[in-house]
Amino acid sequence: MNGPLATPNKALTRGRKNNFGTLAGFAVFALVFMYFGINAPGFLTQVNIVRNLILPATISAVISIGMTIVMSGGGIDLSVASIAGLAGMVAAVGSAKLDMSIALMILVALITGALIGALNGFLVAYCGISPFVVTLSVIYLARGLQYLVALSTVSGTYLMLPRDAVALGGKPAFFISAAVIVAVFLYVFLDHTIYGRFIRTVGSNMHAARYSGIPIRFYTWITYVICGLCCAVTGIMLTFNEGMAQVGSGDSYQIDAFLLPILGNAIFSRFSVQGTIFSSLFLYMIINGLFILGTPPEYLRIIKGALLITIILVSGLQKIISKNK
Amino acid sequence: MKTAKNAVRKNAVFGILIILFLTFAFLKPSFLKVDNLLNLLVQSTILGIVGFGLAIIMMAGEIDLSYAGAIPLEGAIFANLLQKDMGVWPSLGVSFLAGITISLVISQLVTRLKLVSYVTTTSMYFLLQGIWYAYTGGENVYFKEKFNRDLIFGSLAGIPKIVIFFLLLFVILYFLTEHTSFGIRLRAVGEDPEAAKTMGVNSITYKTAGFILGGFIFAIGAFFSTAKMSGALATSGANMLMPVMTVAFVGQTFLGMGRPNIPGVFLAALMMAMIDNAFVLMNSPFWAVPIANGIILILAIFLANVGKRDIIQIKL
Amino acid sequence: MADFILEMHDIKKHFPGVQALKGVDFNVHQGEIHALVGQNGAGKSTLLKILAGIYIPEQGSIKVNGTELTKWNPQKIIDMGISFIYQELNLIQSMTVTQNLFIGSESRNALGLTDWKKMRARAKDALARIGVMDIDVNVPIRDLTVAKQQLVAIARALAQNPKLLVLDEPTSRLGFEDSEKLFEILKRMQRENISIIYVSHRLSEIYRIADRVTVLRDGKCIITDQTKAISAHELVKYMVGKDIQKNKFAQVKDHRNLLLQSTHLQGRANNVDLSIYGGEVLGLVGTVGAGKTEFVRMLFGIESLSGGTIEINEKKLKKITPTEAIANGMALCPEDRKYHGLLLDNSIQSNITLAGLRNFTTSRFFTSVQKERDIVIKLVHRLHIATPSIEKHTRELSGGNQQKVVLAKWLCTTSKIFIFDEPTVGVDVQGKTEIYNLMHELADNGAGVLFVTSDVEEGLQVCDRIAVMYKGSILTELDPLKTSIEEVSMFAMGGHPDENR
Repeated sequence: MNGPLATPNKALTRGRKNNFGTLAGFAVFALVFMYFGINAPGFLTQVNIVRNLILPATISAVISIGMTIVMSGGGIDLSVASIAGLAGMVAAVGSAKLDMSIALMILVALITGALIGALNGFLVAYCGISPFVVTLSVIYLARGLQYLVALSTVSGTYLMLPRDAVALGGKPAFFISAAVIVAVFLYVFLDHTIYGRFIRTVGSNMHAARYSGIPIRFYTWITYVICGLCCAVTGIMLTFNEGMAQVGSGDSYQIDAFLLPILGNAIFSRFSVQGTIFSSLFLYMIINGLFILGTPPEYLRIIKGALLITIILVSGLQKIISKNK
Repeated sequence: MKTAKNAVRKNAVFGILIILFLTFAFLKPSFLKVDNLLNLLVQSTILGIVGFGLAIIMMAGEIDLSYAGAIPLEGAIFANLLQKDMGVWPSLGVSFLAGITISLVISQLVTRLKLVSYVTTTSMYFLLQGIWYAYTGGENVYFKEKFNRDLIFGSLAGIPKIVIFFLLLFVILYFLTEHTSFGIRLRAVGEDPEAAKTMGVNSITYKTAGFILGGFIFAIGAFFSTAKMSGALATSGANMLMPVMTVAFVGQTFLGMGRPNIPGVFLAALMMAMIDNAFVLMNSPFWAVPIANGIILILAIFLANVGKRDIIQIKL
Repeated sequence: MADFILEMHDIKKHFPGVQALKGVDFNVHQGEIHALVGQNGAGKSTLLKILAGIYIPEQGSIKVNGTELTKWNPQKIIDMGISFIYQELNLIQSMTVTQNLFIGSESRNALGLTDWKKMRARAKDALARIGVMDIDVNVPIRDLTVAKQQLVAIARALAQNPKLLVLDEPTSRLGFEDSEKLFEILKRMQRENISIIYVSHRLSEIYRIADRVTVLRDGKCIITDQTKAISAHELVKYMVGKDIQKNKFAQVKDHRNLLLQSTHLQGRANNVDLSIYGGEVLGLVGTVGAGKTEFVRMLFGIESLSGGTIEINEKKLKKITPTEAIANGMALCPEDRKYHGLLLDNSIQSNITLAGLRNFTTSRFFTSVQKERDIVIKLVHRLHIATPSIEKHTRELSGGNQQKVVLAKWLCTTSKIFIFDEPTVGVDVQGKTEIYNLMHELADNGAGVLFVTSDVEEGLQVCDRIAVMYKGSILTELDPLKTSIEEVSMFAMGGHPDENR
């Protein structure tokens, strides 16, 4: 126990054994990919992979990455879908009513997302209200604001975008590069900066974080702001993709935003940007493959829901098993 | 200062209700017409009933969001079987069975596997949504002729029957939760399972009972909702998620209870219906209702939590 | 004919690594108040947990009222008439006194609904039985003072008509008057022939109400006798036992470098004046519940001050946050090292660099794993943290090594004031010595060390100076080279019982 230089330096830095989950995750991914490649006609074409797999996966990934950051800090944000919808709506209105340039549209949307995120964060971090209740309430507000903002133009609850925006929205490269920028930035933020470390500490053990001098309220708050920004980016992507903004667009991503970080956590044993991206590709690969094979779209939701419950069940069982060891 | 904060916490939301009532009455005198007030009551029934179910589960210290998926599904099962000439009571029986099964599953996941209830029930909601889509193909299911709507929506002595059911349920549940040993033990388990254990009250038993009773009440709500629309609507689930949560949470703050309670849900349902009703009367733009609801919810929670400041985290 | 309500004979209980009870005999007469005393780790709580049916002894027998128990569990013990009142009162805070008293045995009327009127009457009776007339039975528990809540807990226990009541440090949160009221109630119960086991660290109380006293030490029963037959000095001596090793460290240090001064600090502590000097290991000694951890948390900003000042770095502060405390050079190794000091499911490396993370960055905010590794390896060697890898999760380390990781965390910052709250709990002998050496090494390098412990012996062996805390305030300061373990223990228990405290 007490020898001088008991363990030589090199040995000390030997890492933990590679997680079984990670290996299994990649293995299953490869297997499923090969399965679809063989059995689903048209799966392996570039058009399919890019437009029907990677594109939806990236849109979903961005909003889920926002949720990942919040979950890393020990919180949850159920309003993500409505923030995305609101931001997208604001962007569309900016263009339709105020004739904003694309850059300005994006800026306005981002500010919207950040403000709502800041509200969420304030109520959770500084007022001590359960994030669950706070973000559920904010869904209301955001949806109402969506209506409000949409009605300030003539056409009611949806708005058409000008041609150059629609053109941009037609190019997958736009979305993929936007998603990549967000992903890379937040990956570095979460895993390679001290701020990411602080956030993870708060999520891991709030008390230990406090006893180590980390300002827990601030770092809790900031996770919600970042999430709001990610939602705004998603909202922009959605608006550009569809060429218009509708009240309630974004709602279909609510399940994804919940499911993907949790799936990433289950596979890679912690919340991470990379894990969420991997899960997104995984999920949309399955959806795409099954779709080609003729599965009716109604079953999509069942798949997502069943997947979610299974993961939660498994992690619950894991907890019980490890407690009994 | 502490007593002032306490007073605010206890009475604020009730005060808001009164203020709103008076404001609406002032702005639109037609608000006070008997017809309109009765209509208001009718509007609040389904919300209130489902809210009762959620409140009971919350009293047991858990939360259950599966109703947003269970209710459309139960409604669809009922409507579908009815459409296929199975008869009212058997169809109803099957849909109730489905609901209770769902609640039973949830209760075991939460009490025995110790899964966190909001995550589990939210996931269950998503799953049930999916099952609903598969079962109905995403379409509304109607049963116009097969069911005598008057059973529910006719009037008895000038009062709509559904309102009578609502009030009856209110009275029964009120006594159950506040004036029986079951109620007091349920709430003890919800507040402090450890202390309850030392008092000889088993938390697994009572939480399971809470989930199942709540699920049963959700099924009642499903029945009324389906009967009201003469069918199961595609939009009923998602539309219901928020309002029911609102009444259960805001209901906590009514009457200074600071905990889920039946009268609180009743008043909160009335309040929500009142806002809806009044805004329609005033021809308000339809963004006004969700914004008003959102603000009220946030305000109610804020006031209810005045003074408490520890950050609450979600453990997944 | 049983004169004894309880006879525990030759109780042995073993836990991994330690023989907690080595054959304890413990008897309680009918109708007596029997004090159970002993230092931390002597075996009191283990004995009581066995009585409560929570632990099962390897050997020994228990007779209640002459009947031998062959098998027992918590419910059976209650059925046999033994009730326990713990420090966590186990009441439902939002419910009324009436409700708390009768959950599980509610009164019902003809309709099957709860009969509140009847229950209220029962409640008043239950309280009257212990002589309490001034509690409103309709009030929620959380609106009552702790003292009154405790009375409700006692009334509830009594409602089950116990023959034996076990009270674990009941006065730890009570003031003088409430304690007196409690004693009156205990005497009343005694008149009803209810027997009482009373666990306490407070000499004055033991001598006030106990008929007999039993001293446990190191898992053995040292003596059982009438309280009037043992003097306070003798009692402390029995508790404390052998001669201890000479203090190898203590030196009278010159107090030139005042690092921290707390003046009249109030809040969950009680008017504390304490000075921490550089170059010295100051011991803060007191029994469990004396208020040491609360005081330390107030210094560090975790708990709020309601009065007094903290003087540090030439600043007089009335409020402080942990971030400010750390910025001013404070470091705290908290009492709950696992849940407040460490991230159990993180590596040793990330735990150690946690507080001083800004020192191991490239370009100001990017983490540098390499820089972290360098410092972590150095510290692992310096502190002799036994681990095959710095990637190992701290959950898997032994208590001693966990404590060293917590300390290492602070060595990555520029701390000058180190507060150790019970650092050697659950640490083996080797580890303890290493921690003592480390504390003195820090002091020798100019830091001020506050060593909080409830183990008097340890405090005497290791510190340069000792402050004794009792009921939230500093009772006295002593020189370890000039005092004795009995003297310190006596102060920790409130001083001589004849001197009214």
